[in-house]
Amino acid sequence: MNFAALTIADLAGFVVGLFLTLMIFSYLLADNVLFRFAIHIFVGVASGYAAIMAWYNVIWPLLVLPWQSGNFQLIMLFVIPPLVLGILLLAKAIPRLSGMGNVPLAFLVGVGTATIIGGAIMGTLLPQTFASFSQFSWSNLQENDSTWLSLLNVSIILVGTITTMIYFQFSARSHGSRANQRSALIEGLAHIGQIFIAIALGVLFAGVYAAALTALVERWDFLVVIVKQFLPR
Amino acid sequence: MATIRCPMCGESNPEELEICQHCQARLKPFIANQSPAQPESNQPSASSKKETPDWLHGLRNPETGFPESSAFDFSDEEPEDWMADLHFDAPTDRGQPPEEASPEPADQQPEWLQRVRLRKREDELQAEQELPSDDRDQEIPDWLEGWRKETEDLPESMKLPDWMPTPQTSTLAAPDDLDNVPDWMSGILSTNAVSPSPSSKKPGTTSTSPEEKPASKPDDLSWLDQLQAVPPSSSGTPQPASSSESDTGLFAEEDKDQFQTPPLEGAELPEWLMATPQDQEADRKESPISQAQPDEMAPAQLPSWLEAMRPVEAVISMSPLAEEGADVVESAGPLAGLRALLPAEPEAALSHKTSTLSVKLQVPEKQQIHATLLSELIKSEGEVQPLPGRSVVSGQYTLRLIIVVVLLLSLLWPLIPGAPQVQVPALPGEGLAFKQIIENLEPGAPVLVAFDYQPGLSGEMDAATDAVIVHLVNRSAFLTLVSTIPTGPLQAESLLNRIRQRGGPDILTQDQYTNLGYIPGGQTGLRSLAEFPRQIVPYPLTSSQTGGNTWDQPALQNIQAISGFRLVVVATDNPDAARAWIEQVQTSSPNLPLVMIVSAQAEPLVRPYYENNPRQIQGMVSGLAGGAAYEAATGQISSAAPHWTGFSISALIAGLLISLGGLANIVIGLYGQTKKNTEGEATR
Repeated sequence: MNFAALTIADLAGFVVGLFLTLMIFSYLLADNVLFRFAIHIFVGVASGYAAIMAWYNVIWPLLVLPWQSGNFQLIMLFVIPPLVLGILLLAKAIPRLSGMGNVPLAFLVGVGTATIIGGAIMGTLLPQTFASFSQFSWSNLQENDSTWLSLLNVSIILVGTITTMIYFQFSARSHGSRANQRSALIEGLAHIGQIFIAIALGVLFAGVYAAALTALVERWDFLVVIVKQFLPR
Repeated sequence: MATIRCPMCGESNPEELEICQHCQARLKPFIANQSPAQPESNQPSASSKKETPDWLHGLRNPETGFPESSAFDFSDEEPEDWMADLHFDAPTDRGQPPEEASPEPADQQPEWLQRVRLRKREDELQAEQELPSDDRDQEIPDWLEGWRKETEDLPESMKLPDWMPTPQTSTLAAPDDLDNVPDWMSGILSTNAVSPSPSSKKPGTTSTSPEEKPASKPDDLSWLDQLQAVPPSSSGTPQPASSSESDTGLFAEEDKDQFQTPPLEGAELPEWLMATPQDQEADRKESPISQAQPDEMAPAQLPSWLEAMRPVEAVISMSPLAEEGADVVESAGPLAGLRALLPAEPEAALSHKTSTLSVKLQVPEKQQIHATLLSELIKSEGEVQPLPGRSVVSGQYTLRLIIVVVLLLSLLWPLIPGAPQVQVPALPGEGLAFKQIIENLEPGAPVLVAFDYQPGLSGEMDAATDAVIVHLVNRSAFLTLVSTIPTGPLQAESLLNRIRQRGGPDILTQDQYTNLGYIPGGQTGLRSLAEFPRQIVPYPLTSSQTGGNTWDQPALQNIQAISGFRLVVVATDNPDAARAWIEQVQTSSPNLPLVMIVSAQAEPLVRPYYENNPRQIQGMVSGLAGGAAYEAATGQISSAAPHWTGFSISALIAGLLISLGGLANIVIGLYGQTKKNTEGEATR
């Protein structure tokens, strides 16, 4: 990176980024004012940018510019209804008129719930269920190069799925005065499911750690690049 | 025709009318309705007798109609009848039942009371015997004796007539001195000695008849002695019982002398009514209850719990009204001048000062100690407890600094000249599929790229996305940038600027991409984008002020839905965002290729959609490793590969530290268990 080719705005961005990075890294020593100041700056800048984005990307093009087009049909179908619903939604802030805000709120909740449920069923639940069934089809096993390896993979998936579901089965038959406890078979299968759950959580933790370590590497490389610019060659 | 004027409305009415024909008011009072022929009489009619209650009828004199107790007659006949009625009626007038007021028979009296009364009689008899007969004459006061002498010296014209009674003197004159007093005084005294006339005797009364109880003899002065035992009123003379009644004007002036209260003969009063306070005090002293000395009574031994419950200070004084009533002198009625009479009203109806109850809580010492402890405990909860001092440099703090220093030094490994570099891994299957899809794009194909990652993970996501964007630019694809988070468009512009700075100003010009900006509404917005992209994002982010329509560009002219794009690339660090794109966009356009660039933390949750058969996502690049592998596979070195060596060494060291920490935890646990077992055996 050649700092001489950077504009003033880019250079200012680098300097601000440098100080903010060092302020965040100061948390390694202890919780301090510099770290909190950097956090507050980040939250404030993000909120301000979101407000600007809502104006320039939503309100201006969807509620203001259509009036300039003169397309009456477009205005009646895609401008007036959201405008009225938006105004009614603002009434939720006024206690006396909060009841009027229930209409757009009900519309949002109803449409959102229908969209999410429909997408979850058609996009995740049914495809994943059918995919689990197809794993055990003989044709699927024959398509792979190693049938035995595919069979082992499918068996692990089956055992992992069943034992994990058994682990979350907490009901037990009552035995009178004795404490309710699952049977030995269920307890053993739940223990195997617990192992699968631990492996899955370990994988998730490894992914989170890898993402955080990548961010550290990127920030560390940023500091090294800046320092190298000021070092004599 | 005679008329009568209505007293209410003033209108004239015929005389024979009794009710006003205008206002219906009565013109003639009821008393005027009585016929003139009917003489006025105080005799109650038969109907009025029926309407009169028995108690009121009993009080009325059958001849006069006035209360019998007030119609005193000073005749000589049956002097005990009216007194007997008085004795019978007086308690009734005061609200006491006759049975309670009458003295108990001797056989029903308690023994101590009989003994007290017997001693009282003996004392009286002894006093009479000791009193000489001459002394009885001396009982006439000096002022009366002087007054008598003065009246004898007066001329005949100034002397009081015989008919004029002097009731006040009747109580002072003795019957046996009638011979020595003048005629006028004997007449007065004779009126005092008479009994009510037979006409005033109420028929059917249970009073004692003259035959059963003869009148007292004229020389018997015992009644005077007993009467003197009654203390006089404040004026010194007995007050007439009807004084209050005379003031009310209920009776005619000529009848007032008939309502003079007759003198009370002590011989006819019961002993309990004649008892003076001194006698009552003597009775109390002689009673078996009062004879018992207080110190002789053993105090009851109350249990501790009962003693704690007993309201010691709040106890009400015993019958204050009874004590007060002992000193009250009756001021009205036939019992005027008597003291210590039974109250006519019930005790509850009498107003008296409310006793002050103590509000002091009786708390045992043990409970006080507990209350003090509880109070101190509550008070200590509100006080700020100083935190225990913590050493500036603790073992955990030192260990944390060591780990940070080790990780940062490992990141400096690539800067060491001549240090071996870690080889970039090969592109996995999902990466190869990703690369193949882009390779199959024709030049100018519209590609929708979503930047759905937060700035905090831009270091990882930019490194993975950079290689894909460069590959798309090399394939001359037309990029349409969108985002479902507000900061996404800024992340996209930042990445494109970095690529543009690296590759030169000829790439990523305004003809090669458009940034549609933020898509509001979450999953609903995604669904709308899949169905109506032109209506959801009609203007690009950079030209929104000018009103230019991005959909007029040649690459986007034929796009009416999201299925018009040749490829959808989603870069996200959130598995929920990846799932939303799959559920809303892929389901609406199953044939549209969907590939993803995901963070390493989201890769385990997104992979099942790639492993699915048929695949819901056709390719995937995950994390820094995926980006570096993609760069190596496409023959470009941008941002991921230079970071790979430092990332790999840091990840290796972090793995070693985690493994060492786990081993140390196991060893410490085993050592602690062994030490515990050893100590347990040693104690045995």
